[in-house]
Amino acid sequence: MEKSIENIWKTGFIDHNALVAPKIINLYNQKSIHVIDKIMRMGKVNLIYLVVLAAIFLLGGFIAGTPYLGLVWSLLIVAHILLALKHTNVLKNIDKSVNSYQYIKTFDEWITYFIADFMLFSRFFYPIFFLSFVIQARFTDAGRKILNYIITSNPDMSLFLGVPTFIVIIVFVVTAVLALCGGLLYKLDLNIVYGRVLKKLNEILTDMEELKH
Amino acid sequence: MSSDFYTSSILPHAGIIIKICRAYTDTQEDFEDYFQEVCLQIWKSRDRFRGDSKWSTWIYRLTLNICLTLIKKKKNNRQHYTSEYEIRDEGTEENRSFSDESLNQLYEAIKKLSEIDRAVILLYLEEKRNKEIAEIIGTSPNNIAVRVNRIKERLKTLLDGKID
Repeated sequence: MEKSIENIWKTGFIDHNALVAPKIINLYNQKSIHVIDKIMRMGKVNLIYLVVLAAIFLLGGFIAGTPYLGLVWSLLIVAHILLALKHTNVLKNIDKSVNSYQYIKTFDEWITYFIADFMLFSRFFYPIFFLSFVIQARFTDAGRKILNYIITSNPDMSLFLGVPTFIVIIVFVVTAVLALCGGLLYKLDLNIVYGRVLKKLNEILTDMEELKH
Repeated sequence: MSSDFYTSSILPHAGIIIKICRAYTDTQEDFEDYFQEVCLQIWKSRDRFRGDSKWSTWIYRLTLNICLTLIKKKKNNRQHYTSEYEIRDEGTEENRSFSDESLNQLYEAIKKLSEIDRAVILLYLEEKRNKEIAEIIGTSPNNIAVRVNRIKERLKTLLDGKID
């Protein structure tokens, strides 16, 4: 006998097994794996980008006639890469076979340590980056011309190592600000690139902690 | 999620959640993922339930929204990672989830409907009134009445005269 769709629906679900809810287990297994994998993938891409950038600085420095500046910037980037690799090696020791909460918690601790280390590193990175640029600028033709113009226009100006004192003070202040705010600059940069995915990681961790209680 | 909340607030409506999740998934694995995600989102969003509608209506709406979001996400991921040929190939996979063969056939037919039509017919089959379906879907009761008739005709065609 032919049945209406309403009948098929009603009689089909009379079988009690048809509506047995699946067990809710390892709720965040997939999510935590996905988010961590995403962070790791982004990190790898970032490292490749940094290697390319280091090469560009080095070659660009030679081509532009500022080899020392190119070398210093390139070395700064290399130091950044080495620090990131050091941390990534630590991550390899995390046991993925433990439960997803423990895994994501360990990863979160790792990333917190990673960020703290890089915030400290950035307090040297940005000032050195800036100072090397200023020192290089001082010895370029344009830099010499500008300095000569300033000095000859104001013969009474006080000088420090042949440079007007006020310029030395400005450079000192900017360097100090960069040293103080280097960590914040790093966090700003980090948030632009990883902000969304790190927020997701935090949300998952908060949910998992709430689920545990 | 406390087991109390699950038992008292979700489990009584697990039937409709299961029925909806089944209609939007092709495999058991996907079904379980969708079911878990729905339960999790209900738990996470519980504070946003203001009591303007019935708890069950709110659950239906949430379940549909989550399934539609997940299906959209899945489609996007597939477009990124697989060829069009592979998508079509996977879409033809049958999932005989129930012991009742007529019900399996009906589900296969429902899965061939558009995502919104699937939602409408599922709620209709759950004996929801047009007004409530309209409230959940976000349209007028008249529109639902017309849609339901059209969907039933389409299901009849899809089931090749196996139903009245």
